[in-house]
Amino acid sequence: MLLITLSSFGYAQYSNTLTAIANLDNAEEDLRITAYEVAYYNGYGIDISIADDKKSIDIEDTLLFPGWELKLVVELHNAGTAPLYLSSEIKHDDVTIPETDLLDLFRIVYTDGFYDNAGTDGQWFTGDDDPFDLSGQLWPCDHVYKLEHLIFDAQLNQTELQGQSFTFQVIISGSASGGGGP
Amino acid sequence: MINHKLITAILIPMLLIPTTCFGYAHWTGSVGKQIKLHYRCVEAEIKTYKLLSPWDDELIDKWPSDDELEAMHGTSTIIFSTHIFPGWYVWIGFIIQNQGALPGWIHEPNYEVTDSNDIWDWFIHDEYYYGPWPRNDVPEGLYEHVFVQSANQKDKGKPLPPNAVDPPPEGNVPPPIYLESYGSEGGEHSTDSMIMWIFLQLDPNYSNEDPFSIEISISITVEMAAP
Repeated sequence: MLLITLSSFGYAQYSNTLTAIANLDNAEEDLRITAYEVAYYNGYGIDISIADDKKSIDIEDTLLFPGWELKLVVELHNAGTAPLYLSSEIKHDDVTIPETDLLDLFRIVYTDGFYDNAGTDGQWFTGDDDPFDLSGQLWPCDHVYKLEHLIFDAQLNQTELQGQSFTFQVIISGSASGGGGP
Repeated sequence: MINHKLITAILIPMLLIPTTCFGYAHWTGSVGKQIKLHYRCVEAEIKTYKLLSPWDDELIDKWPSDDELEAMHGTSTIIFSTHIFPGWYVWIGFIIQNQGALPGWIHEPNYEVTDSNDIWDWFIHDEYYYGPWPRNDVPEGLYEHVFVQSANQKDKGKPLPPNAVDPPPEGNVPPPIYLESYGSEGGEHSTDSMIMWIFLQLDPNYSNEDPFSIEISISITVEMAAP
């Protein structure tokens, strides 16, 4: 009896595949105002409120006088999934105006800026506040602080401003786009 | 009497069976010839990979992690997920090594998508190939030193290393790339490794703000090289 057994213990493999799988969803832009702090105020009473949707903050003072001053810290939070480039602009009657126009129009000296933190002394508006680099982005879940400094620079003899009211808006925008390509 | 005959009739065959087997074992023989065939294979693996993007690391979930991949000594699959926006891009870098007993050709990748929102047409992709070399001779300037600056403002003050190279590094070659079989001869390791960089971007001009989701499967085929 002759027996020939043909067997194999390996599987033929003439090719194989390497795979990279990318699961990609759209990023959501969601910048919110989460808190504020009055660092300095010398007026008679100011109303500050954050809207329910956390998209705006209203500041109202009906008793301005020469020398009136407000230093406000607004906390912004990136609640979305998109990293955000930040910017801000001032609008009056729905028209974008430069900061210097606030002085011409309303005698308001206005300065602002984005900051990471209050610096080593932990106090805002003390000169060592750590600025936020606007060429970079605010990462999701991160915070940034916007400092607003307003001084009413009217002179006592500028009576034309008495009894007047004015409104202006500071629009803060966060956008994922703008980083460009390689 | 009937019972005795019946018992005898049963016992006789029972006695014959072992007798027959015993006889068969002594008066017959067999010759067996066993042939075993072992097919060799081409088997490439991703030995290491990078995902370079201004929005990498913290914002891209990836598998396997660097530690996991090191423990696995290579993988055939990587998976990553993230949230993207117009202009988003990533450079995917691989060091691929042929660990099989046969040489192979690395071809251009194929792209397959699961794309219910029809946005694949808004993606840009490109591929760059480098090599081959022995694994330990893969030039660092074509992989290790390739970086992309983070867009995170917290990283803006952290400069890239002085020897950093922007992707894609110079020196790419056209596909396919021939990878020798794994092994060494006379102390020289075979040229079994290569680098591939893949660029993937969502077009900066994509303007639809509707939510979307897309799965992109990038397949790199390694084909046995005919002898």
